[in-house]
Amino acid sequence: MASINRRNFLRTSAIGVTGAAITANVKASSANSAFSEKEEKKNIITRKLGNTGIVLPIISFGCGRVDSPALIKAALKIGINHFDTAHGYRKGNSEKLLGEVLKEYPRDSYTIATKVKPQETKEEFLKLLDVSLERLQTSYVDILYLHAVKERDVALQKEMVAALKAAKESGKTRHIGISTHRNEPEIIQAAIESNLYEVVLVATNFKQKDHAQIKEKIESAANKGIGIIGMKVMAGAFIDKDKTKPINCKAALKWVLQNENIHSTIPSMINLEQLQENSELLYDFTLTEEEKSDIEKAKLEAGLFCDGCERCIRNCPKNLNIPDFMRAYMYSYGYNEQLKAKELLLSQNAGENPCSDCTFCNVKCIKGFNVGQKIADVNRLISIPDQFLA
Amino acid sequence: MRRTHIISIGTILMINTSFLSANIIFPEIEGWEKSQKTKVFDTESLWEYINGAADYYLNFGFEELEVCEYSVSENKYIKVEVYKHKNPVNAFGIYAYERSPETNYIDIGNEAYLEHSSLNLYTASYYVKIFSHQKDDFTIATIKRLAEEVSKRLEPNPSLPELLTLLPVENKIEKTDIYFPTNYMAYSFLNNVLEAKYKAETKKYKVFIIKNDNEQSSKETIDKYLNAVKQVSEVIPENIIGINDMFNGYIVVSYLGNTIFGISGTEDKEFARKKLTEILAKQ
Repeated sequence: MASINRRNFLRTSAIGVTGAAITANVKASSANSAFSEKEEKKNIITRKLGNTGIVLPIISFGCGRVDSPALIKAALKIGINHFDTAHGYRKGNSEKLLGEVLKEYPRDSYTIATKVKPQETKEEFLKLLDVSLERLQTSYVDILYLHAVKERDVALQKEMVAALKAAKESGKTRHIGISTHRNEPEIIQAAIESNLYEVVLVATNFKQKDHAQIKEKIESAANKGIGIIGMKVMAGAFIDKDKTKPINCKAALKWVLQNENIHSTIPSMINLEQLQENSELLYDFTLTEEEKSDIEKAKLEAGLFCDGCERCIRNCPKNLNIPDFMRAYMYSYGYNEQLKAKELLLSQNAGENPCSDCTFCNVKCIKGFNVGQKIADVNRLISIPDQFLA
Repeated sequence: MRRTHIISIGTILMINTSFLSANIIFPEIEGWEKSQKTKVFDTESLWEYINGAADYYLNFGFEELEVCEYSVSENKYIKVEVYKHKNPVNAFGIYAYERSPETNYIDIGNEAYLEHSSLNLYTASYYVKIFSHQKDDFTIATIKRLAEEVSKRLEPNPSLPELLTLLPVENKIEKTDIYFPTNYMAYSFLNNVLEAKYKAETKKYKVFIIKNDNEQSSKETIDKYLNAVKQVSEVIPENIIGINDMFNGYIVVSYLGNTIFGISGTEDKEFARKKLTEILAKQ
């Protein structure tokens, strides 16, 4: 049996304690120490959540993946006191965990938002809300969202509007909200027109193709006194499908916070290190030049990056390996690596004009790439002599 | 699109295209029309189907989801979702992440439960979720039958993942095992952890085990923990160390070879020590 003896343990312990003492000022190496020393939470940056009367730290806590009470306690200690969950997260275990931890704290020292998906009837919706309140061990939530709405009709559906109003009138929620991460501009517009929704929880990040339109709607909503909370702020954390190209998440979050109409954000945090890193932004979210550059590069790369899903190939009558052509396009237009692009194009053996047999391109790319045009553009490289290419 | 599935049906078969695999995994059920084609989602597209929940499925080594529908009319249908994960421990992990200890357990696959018209189970590397909006007896009976058939087709002889056999059985509260692939107790360096709740002498506590690659990894993991918590820790006889963790309470840990054993969830230090000593003695 492999084991440890008292002497080894004493040595281990001594190393641990000594190590902690040495690294007390190195934030990443001593999670607890950083939290115990951070007492200046009164100075954290906050914003008013529209006309709700709630003031939130610019970083709140997205609890979709949290499975440790320690994280909730640590967040409260450093001043993050808004927790976002949903009826469906982990089949209710997210709400249960929050309820267990938060019951130890005064109810007015934190705010909770939960979300319930649209149901067929008002009664069904309210029944689910009651289950959520029971799990959360509270008589009310601060924000109740109609969850994951992607169609205007659903946002304004009579039964759900009645359910949300009833929830507020009965005191089960202080405010009514709507959450959306698809078709965002339409949903925000519906919220503006509804005279019902007080808060919009919306996906926002630098990778969104229609970000300009979303930003414009967010501004309109904020001007009307609607509170705006940003989600999906880390833009998926990776640029590519295989997760080999990480995004600078700190920069991505700072990028979102530059918009003052985003009153708070709910990044998902799953360990003390992430919480600590995000908490630094509660005091300063200025983008450094390096971070700005990281975002610009990631934007460019995300815009050119083919996920390689191969769904396009079946639509191509010539069975071209379209992902390879898209990769060549990225080499050429994204990285300026013309020779590498040409090499990849030649390996396709598709000739100078691979699309010559088609008058119309049937290929539909899930990322919206104009595949035919991109192939035509990049394939010109194969007729250019190597000495003229980078 | 060329797609590869590895499905255990006694022998391992390599099946190409989702349509073929659908015929093998999803049975025909009399009186119900099976969808002609299944929907398939991978690590990139999963969020299109389950939104934000995709993050934690991915954390449990999600690889692919195949969805098949059975219907008798437009409003009466059953949906079967088969999530393939990296290994059986991960499949157990995501299953346990969503279950409640107090529910209606039934004997299908490695473990299963039926709540209203929703049945979840795990077997081998698969997490299977079957549900309907209809709650009539006919639909519920079909859900159960589908669960049995699908489970058998995925793995005819399910066995418990080895990690799950390492927790002591005595005093364990049923169905409280949870697997943490990463970030146990909110520490990024505490990974591959199995935890369960226990009750003895009217006191509740938790036991956790961390499986490392080797003994050196066990030592390093404990050292990282000591570094992170900073608080002065105590070395107790019987090779046990006590840690005052600001956010997780009092913890006792020790290790034997590549496995770390620990107790949490009780502030009775003597009791925690005693329980860990008992566990270590039985290894």
